[in-house]
Amino acid sequence: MSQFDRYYQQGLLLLKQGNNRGAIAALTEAIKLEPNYANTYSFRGEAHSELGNYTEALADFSKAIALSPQEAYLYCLRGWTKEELSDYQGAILDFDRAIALNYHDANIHISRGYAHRVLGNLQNAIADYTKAIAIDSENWNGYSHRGYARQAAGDISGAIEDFTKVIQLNPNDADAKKQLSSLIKAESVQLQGKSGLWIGKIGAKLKNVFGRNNQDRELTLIYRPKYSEHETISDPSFANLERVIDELWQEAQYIIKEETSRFTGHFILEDSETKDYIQGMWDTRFYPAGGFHLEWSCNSNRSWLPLPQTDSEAKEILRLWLEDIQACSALNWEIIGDSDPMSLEHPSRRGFKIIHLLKQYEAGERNFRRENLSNANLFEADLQGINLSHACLVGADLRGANLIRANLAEADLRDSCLIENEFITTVKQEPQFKDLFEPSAKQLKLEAVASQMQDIFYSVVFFPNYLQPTIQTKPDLAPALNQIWQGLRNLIQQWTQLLIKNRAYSNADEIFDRTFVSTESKLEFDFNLPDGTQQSIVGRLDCLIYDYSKGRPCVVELKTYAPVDPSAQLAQVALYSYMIQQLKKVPVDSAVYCVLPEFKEYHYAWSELETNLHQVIPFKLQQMQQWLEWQPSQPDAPPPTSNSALCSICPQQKKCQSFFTDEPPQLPDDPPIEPETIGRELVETLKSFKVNVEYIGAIAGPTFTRIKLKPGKGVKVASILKLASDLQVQLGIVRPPLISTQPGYVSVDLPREDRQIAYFKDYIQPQKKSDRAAVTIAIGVDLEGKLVEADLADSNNCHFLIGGTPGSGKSEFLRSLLLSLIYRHSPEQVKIALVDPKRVTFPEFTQMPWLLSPVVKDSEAAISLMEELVREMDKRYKIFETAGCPHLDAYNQKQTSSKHNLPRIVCIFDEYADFMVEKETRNALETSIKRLGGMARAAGIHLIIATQRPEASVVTPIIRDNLPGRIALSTSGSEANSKIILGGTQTEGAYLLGKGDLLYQVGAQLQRLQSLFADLVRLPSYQEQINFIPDRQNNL
Amino acid sequence: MTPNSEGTDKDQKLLKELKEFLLNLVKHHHLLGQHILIQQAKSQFAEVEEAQIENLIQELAKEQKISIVNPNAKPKERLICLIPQVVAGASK
Repeated sequence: MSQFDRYYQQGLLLLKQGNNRGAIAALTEAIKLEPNYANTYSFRGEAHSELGNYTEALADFSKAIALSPQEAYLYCLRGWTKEELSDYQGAILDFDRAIALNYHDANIHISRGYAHRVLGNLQNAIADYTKAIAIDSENWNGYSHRGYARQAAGDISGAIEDFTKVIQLNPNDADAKKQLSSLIKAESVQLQGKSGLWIGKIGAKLKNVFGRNNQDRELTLIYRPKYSEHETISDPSFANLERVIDELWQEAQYIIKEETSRFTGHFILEDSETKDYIQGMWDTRFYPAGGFHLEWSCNSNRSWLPLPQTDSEAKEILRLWLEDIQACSALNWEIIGDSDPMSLEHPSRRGFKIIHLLKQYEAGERNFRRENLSNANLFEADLQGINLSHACLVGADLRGANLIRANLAEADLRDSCLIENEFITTVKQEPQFKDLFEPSAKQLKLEAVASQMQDIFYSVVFFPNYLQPTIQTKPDLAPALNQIWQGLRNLIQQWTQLLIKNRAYSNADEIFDRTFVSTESKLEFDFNLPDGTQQSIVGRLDCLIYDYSKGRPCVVELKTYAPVDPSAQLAQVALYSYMIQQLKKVPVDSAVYCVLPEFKEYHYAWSELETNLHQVIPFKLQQMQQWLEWQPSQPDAPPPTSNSALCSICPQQKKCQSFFTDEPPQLPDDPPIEPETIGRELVETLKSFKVNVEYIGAIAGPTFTRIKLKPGKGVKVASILKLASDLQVQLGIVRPPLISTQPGYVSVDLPREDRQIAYFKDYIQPQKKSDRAAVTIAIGVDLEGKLVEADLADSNNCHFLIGGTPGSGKSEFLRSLLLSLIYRHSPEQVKIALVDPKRVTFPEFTQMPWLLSPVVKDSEAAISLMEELVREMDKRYKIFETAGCPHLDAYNQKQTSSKHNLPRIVCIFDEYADFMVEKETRNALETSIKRLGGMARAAGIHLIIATQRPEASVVTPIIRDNLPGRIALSTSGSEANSKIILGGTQTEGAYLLGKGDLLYQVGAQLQRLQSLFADLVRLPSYQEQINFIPDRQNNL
Repeated sequence: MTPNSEGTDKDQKLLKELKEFLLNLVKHHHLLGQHILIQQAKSQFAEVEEAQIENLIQELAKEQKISIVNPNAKPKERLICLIPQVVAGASK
């Protein structure tokens, strides 16, 4: 064992034993002997941290990270230490990097969530905890943290849900129990302030009842909550009575959240001497629509209790109850006395009978009916009269949402659902169906009722309306009808099951209206998309039912076949449930009933969808919106579905596969015009303006044809330059030609009619470059068809400013630039930081291993990222100084192993203008850009900043001065904007053709290039790079 | 009573039971394949010939209790449906 090993092992042992000072001493000795071993620093950092020396710990963890920058846990350690030092922003950056390196560690997400929470970014915190839970659903810590965050955000019911889950997973968590208890109390107050009043009323009533007859007795109150231990309280003063009831209430709330929307409370009041008692119960349900249903009953074993013996006593009690009923009615509470009537045999119970009936007829029934109506009408009213199309989404041409496209295929197959909905219409109209449900829920037997339902429907509808006409006119269709009938039988069985369940909550008269809330309803909703625009979505749902046992409505989609792809149907019902939820603000479950070949129900609870699928809907719609705007002549066609098996059932298959071709339309009938012919024509045209020029050659690039002209003697170049507009008219071209002076000639660039696309795959294939190879980015293809690249180590190209208005091809350019980096450099060689506020430029790159940190989307994170880059730069300079190296390449060359190399960091910042509105943000970003622009090249950190608004207010002098590399895409005719990007008097950007036609400034010269176009982005895995096979280029 | 007449009575009783069985099965399913009906009948009444079952089906059809939906189809594809009595009465 070496001396280093001895100190190192000793240090670890002492750390384990809790001797932190000893550990620090030993590890310090180890570091003296071997200063480049990351673990020694990290362990010493831990020892410092244990002692509360956070500054020292921070330094050690930073050193460890510098030596081993790919270890996620080191960033975590530093992040936690920063939290101790109250540097939560810094901690978030560290957790960002840890997550980028190890996304699947739930605890890192929890750690970052905590930092967000402390900073008050509650939604970020909740998002992090939700991710942690998605990664590890058994991690109670995730639920606990999210519970606190939700509570802080005012989402009490969400917090209750989380703490309930914590207790499920970790039953001994006293904090969670305490928290849950207080939350439930808070929520019960939140519940329109009703509970407290009601509890007070019950308490006052019991006090009143007992107080009258038992003033000198000691009474015992026993309450028997259904879900907890019994509790006995002896209290002659009744001071605890309200507390007990309060606790009952709280438990009830817990039960509501836990499993049902219903609870039952029991209590017994017992005379400790005589053992006489009164026992009571209440049974309460909450409806999502806001209704409140309460059943109340009580009885006793003895007549000493205030059971009315005389009419006057009965009237007095009646008066008290009526007061309650009135109070409840005023509050829109639902009170009903349809629980089992108490036995009437004993004369002492007469009064209760009276009370019971009064409740039922005078107020309870009325309120109950109102509640029924409110539920039944809740959705129907708003779903009526909306003008929508049958297609479940915006249009049949919508390609896209790979998952949603499949739904379109299903639309044509759904006609048989019409009969299924006819069943619902029929049961609501035919009194025979109602008669079947007259018995109570307990008396109804599924098989028998379902069989009778089938029988009635067959006799009244199916036989006379479908089967009989078929027998008479088209007996060949009989097998298809048989299929439909088998499906209907299955469906009727399913509906019957639901109806019997709901019968427990409804009378026979109303059960169908209350269960089948709506059929064949049209839906429309304007979605707010992440980019601030709106998208109207229309659809038609098959059926909306209400399941009282679950206490919420459910969208049901009927299918007459087994799904090819369950995700398609999930997307459809999830979208509907989302739309209804957005309209009505109540949670809505989703279900798909596949009635053939055998009945199968797919049920998706609201809670399952809201944290994942529903959150991506606006983003998916935004993407689809762009696809809808796509035209066949444009590049970047909407991608085909990843599940091509679905295409065979899609009625739009033919159109889809011809319309959305990735190749632009070609004009095979028109042979390309020879460049020389064009050149000659140009010479003649100029001659007509009395400008003599000599044709000296032409080159056809992918986008334009360059004609080289030599002005005749005495002809000024300016006389040619000023003819741009005239040439456009005379030559019949879409844009004025770009005319420039070149050494020895004048170039006139004429746009090509048969414009070619420079496909990325034709120029760059995955390959692994050596660690010492230059890191270059692809700029575009020149007139000779050669790819022009920029070396980031070159001081003229180390940072870039890129400008181009919408349609210029800027996003495609940035994507191909990014691909050119990751196709040829491993994540160890290059790290990428992406800023994408519009979230549409880099959607395929959000999970790639090259990412330095998660894609930044807001200004706060953008500022943090830039500051972190500055810190990284400073740190690297210190490392270089120690190593005696002037720049990154020299440092990396000096390393004995490539493992110790530092990666280049390329920060691609799209839509920079979005962050320039707020002065504070602008100042913060400019400060960082200034420092990085001036110094970061040698540290191997590069900025590529792009904007679609290359205006003076956005591209400030500070930005311009610090970004030497310039690339102008079309500025749509704005010479001023062209000058801002290219500097000086360069107005050429105004005359570019768009779609990737660009000018690249090389020294004083401008090179006109065509950007590469990556039609299909496929990220190469690292392994693929290592095992690069040249043939695979065709797969791209 | 002769042994033969006793046997005939027995047969008659069996066929009556079978006819009832057939009708009940159709009542339960409302609409089903003829071959399924025959198979079910054979499994319950093994001693009865298939031709006898087919005869009973024809009888039930004549009595307007059931109907052969597609009589011109191949036997295996034929479907039998129940004629609801209310509807049958109304159609007369």
